[in-house]
Amino acid sequence: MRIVIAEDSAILRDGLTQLLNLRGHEVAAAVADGAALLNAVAEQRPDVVVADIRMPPSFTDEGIQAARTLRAAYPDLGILVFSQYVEARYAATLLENGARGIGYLLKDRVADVSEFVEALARVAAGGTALDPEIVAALLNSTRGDGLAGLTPREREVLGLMAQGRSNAAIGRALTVSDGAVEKHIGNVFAKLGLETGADEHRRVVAVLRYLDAIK
Amino acid sequence: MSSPVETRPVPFWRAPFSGRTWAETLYALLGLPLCIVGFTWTVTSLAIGLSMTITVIGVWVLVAALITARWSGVVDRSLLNSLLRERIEAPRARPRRPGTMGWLEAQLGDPVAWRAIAYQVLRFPLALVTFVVTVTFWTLPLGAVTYPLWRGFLPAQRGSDGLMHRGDAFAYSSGHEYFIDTRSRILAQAAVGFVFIWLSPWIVRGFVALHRKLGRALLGPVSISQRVRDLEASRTQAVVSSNEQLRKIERDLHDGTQARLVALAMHLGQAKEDLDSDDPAAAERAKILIAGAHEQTKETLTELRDLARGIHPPILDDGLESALTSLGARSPIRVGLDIDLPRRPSPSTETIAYFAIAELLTNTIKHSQAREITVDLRVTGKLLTFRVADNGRGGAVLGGGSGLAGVTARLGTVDGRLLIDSPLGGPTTITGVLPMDA
Repeated sequence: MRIVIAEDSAILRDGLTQLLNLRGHEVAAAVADGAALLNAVAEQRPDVVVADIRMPPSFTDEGIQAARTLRAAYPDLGILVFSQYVEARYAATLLENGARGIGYLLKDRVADVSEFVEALARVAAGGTALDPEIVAALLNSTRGDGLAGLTPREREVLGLMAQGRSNAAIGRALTVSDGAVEKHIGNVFAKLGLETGADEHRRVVAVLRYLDAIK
Repeated sequence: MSSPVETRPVPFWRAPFSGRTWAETLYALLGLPLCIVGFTWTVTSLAIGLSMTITVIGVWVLVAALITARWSGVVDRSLLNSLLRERIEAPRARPRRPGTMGWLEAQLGDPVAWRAIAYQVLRFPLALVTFVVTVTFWTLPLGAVTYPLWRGFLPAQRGSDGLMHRGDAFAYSSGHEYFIDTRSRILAQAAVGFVFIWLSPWIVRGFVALHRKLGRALLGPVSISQRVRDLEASRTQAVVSSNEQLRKIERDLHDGTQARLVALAMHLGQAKEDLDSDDPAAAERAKILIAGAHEQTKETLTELRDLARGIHPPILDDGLESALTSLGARSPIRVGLDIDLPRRPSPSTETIAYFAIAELLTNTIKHSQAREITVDLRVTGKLLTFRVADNGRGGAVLGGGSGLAGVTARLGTVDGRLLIDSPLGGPTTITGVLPMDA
């Protein structure tokens, strides 16, 4: 992957660069604020960007603003924003034009390096990676009746789907066969009355909309 | 606070004989001579002082005028409090900066003195009228009532009617007089005088009440409402500054400690994965990653310690002197300390002074290019004065996003003040004054 990193903490920026290089990815540019990120993307045309949300000059939501601009200008670019806190509001902004090639993770997730790089690869390939914490918040804030008909296993599957996991990844996470995953997913969609989407990001959007609607 | 002492209401018929009437009459009579002296001196010295302010002498005359005005305020206040049983409290002195200039500034800007001057000027016409009214309304009834006793000593005079009369004459038209020399007229005049014995105390009381009002307004402390407004402003300042402090701490945690810990977790995560693999090169890499993580942990600890110290330095519990010594020892520019604290200030004063000095030192280190900084700390009465001086390039100003505004706000929360003397080219002296028991 060709990656551009935007992160104002030098220590994290360098660490991330080092780590991605180690795994054979190319970090085309590593910058410290939103404006520099836009320039770097225009110059380098990477597959995916990793952007901090809180960056100079205002230290509020520069990363989110940059992501919106980038999404409009480069529809195929993967965008993964990460932050010390996850905010449902930011997730909504990021997903307003679909979940294709969008990732939103807590910075803590870089501790599990392989998983983080996997999520990055998923976003680069047009998939979705949402932090389990956001999904958990959505699942918890939904009223009981909306999800009442689901078995505990089906709830787990729903949570993993909302994070943007593929069927294979869900199967690995729950240590069940692909066939079993497909069956669970079919049940969830039937019980919630959702259209079964072919690709994963459409599935994510359907699930998130559902969770958001019954909140 | 400045309401008159509660006095038992005296029945109307006993009013002329109550102590209050005598005291008020005495006050009305004493007032004029005192006021003439005070007014003449005040107006003269003020006029001379003001008209000559461009010269040094003028300033000193002005200062003399203000000092005597303040003294006269003390005399007037004690007169009101003793004779009229008012309870006007002495106004509080404001903190001032040390040195001759500080003294001069405090004198010229002293609201107590200026209000005492206003009192002198406003009171003069009032005292004049009060005096005349009091004398008139006391002599009239007393004269009328005692008239039969001294009428016999009056010379006999010829009236326009050609007859001889002995007594007061009221001219009621040109060439005609009205002599009080018949029994009925004498009795009538005595009766009028008698009535006025009961009326006069109330007239005098009315005028003296104006003096009381004026004294309460101008000789006492600034009104409660003004004080409340001041406190409201400083409370807002306190809330804002503590908010800013919390935000700064959050920022420091977010940008410093949290970022470091994330990087640390990332390196350890990679090391873990490397150790899990059977690749000998990966194992070697893991060693380097762990060594780096170890180093980062130590740096994070240092950062956290600094951050915690920024919230409350534990050494401050041992007193300002120890805390400032340790602060000075960490400074890259030599800091000379001269601390003379006969007693410990209150904990909040210590904290405010410490952070104010720490901020000033940081500012100096960042901007002044000084080679030496001196910090001294003194107690004068109920005030703690600190001074941070450097031999740098000067030009420090309040505002413009400088830390000085923050320090001023910090001090403002306890009625303290910050004075900046920093000409371009240096040297800079910044003085802070705050109450010992904030």
